[in-house]
Amino acid sequence: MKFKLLLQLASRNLWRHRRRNGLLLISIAFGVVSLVFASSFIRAFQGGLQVDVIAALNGHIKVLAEGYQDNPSLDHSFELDDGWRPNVPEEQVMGWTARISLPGAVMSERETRGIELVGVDPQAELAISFLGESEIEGEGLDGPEDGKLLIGADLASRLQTGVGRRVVVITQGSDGRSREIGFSIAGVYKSQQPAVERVIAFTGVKNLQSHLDTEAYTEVSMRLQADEFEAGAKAAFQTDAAFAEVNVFDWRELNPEIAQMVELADFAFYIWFVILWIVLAFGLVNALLTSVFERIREIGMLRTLGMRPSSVLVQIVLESQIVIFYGLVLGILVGAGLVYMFRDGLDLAGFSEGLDIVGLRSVIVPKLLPSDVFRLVVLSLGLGLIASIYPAWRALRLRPLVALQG
Amino acid sequence: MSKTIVRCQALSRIYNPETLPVVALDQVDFSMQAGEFVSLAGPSGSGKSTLLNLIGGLDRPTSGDVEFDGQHLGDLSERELADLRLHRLGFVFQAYNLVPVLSARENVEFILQLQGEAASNRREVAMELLASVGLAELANRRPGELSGGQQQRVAVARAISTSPALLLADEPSANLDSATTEELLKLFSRLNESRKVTILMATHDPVVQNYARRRLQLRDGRIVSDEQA
Repeated sequence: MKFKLLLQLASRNLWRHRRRNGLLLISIAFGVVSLVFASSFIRAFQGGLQVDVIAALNGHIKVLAEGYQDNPSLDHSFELDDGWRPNVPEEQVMGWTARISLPGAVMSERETRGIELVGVDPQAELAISFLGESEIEGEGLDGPEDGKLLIGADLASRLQTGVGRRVVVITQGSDGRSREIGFSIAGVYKSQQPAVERVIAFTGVKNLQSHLDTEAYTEVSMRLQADEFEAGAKAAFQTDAAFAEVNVFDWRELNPEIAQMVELADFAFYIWFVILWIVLAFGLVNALLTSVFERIREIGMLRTLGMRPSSVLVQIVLESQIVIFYGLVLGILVGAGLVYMFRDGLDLAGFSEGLDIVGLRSVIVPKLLPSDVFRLVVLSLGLGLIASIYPAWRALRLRPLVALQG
Repeated sequence: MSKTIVRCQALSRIYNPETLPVVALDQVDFSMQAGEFVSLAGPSGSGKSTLLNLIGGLDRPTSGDVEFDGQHLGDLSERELADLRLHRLGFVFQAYNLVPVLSARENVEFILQLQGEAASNRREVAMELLASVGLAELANRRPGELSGGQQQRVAVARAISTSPALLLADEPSANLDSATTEELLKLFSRLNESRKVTILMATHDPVVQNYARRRLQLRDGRIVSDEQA
């Protein structure tokens, strides 16, 4: 009952100085809009980074032979029985595949470039790597026996070659000697990640094994349905008897700089939040202090009539919380509206070179997470509470008689 | 026999005792029975408001004791004093001091609401009191929409809404014209006679004093006369 009275007094006092408090509310809403908008882009950035790095042939989990990272060659490979399956529950797995991935050089009639020649099972790749969402000019690979080559558009452009033309790839066989393999280009893929497009060339894994005189693979990659299954899947590979001398990595270990950027994005949200709230807190404290000093007599009268100091404190805190609450509601609605406006993505093609360096896509689709909105609401109300303590304390210190005398 | 509602013994209040001492009250002995209507007169600076503030628990004496309805105010904490003011005392100020964001009815309900009274009962009491001070039809107006006299009548209705043991009125007519003052004083007399409200009223206006049944005169912080009308 008393709380209802205090709420009534607080809201009417705010309305009494509606211009001042309206401006405060708008400034809070403006800050919230920027936070909502920024956090939705941060999430898009984080999500995009993670998905891209996983789709760039890493998967959530990758198994590499001991020593492969230092010397990527067939000297560091492993064989798998035909019937081998990973010991991870099927419902947790989006897809998995075994590949051969070797460095090499590709030569066209005009240019030579360094590449990563990857022997794949094309069907399996569709589910777990960027190939599944890439546009292909010409044809994709038919199967693991396919002897043609699928290269990225950027590489094709640099080699000045295209679909139906022939190239030669030089790489190292199982005996340690170089192999020259002639390929006809089946297709040219376009990826969201220019760095990948420039380097990776695909062919059928069985075809590549026969050219290299081996039945071995250099990696097994698995993509999971959710991040939470990572630890279990990693443990399953580590204890699998099929692998004698292998290292099992998650995507973070393979791309520590990207993992760090994903974590930093979270930190960026807090930095943005703190800077904004420092600015807003000054406005809030100032408005509340002005409001307290304007109402010294009134507060004295309320205390004289028997209102407890704690009730005065609650009233001042309520005033700040009401302004912040409506500022949050307005800011979140406008921010969500802006995010909705950009639902098809914000095209940053003009900055694509720079984005490429950090592995970002050129089109970023903002993503507003309910958990981020919740965090914003709780933190804002919490900081607003802290900011209102000083004005409330000033009101609390007023002795009724002194306040009554103004 | 009426019971003693206020007893002041050797009550002194000295402001700035260490730097520039100003004696506002000097060894005042005074008591008041339930049901009395007492006026406290004297020139500015004679100690009227100081005495009211001490009796109302708004200030603490330099020495001496105030006993209100058997309770020694010096023994009470600030919180207990706030509770005492809320439940046992009514205040009418010179400057009306209504809550500007509340309507006349809500102002009268205010103290009942602080006391936790149920909404339906509060509203009934508030409307009845506003009717008794002739303001029922203005119940929904805010203080800014009322004249000075009307505001003061709302303040009186608020002060008596909880049936206080004592109504303290500090220069209640100072901002009112003579016709409105007379109206207000008649209201005080009526409340005293019909509702048995105990009233202690500070004033420096001799006309106002005439409405009280007991008249105290203060000068230089001392009671110089105490007369029954």
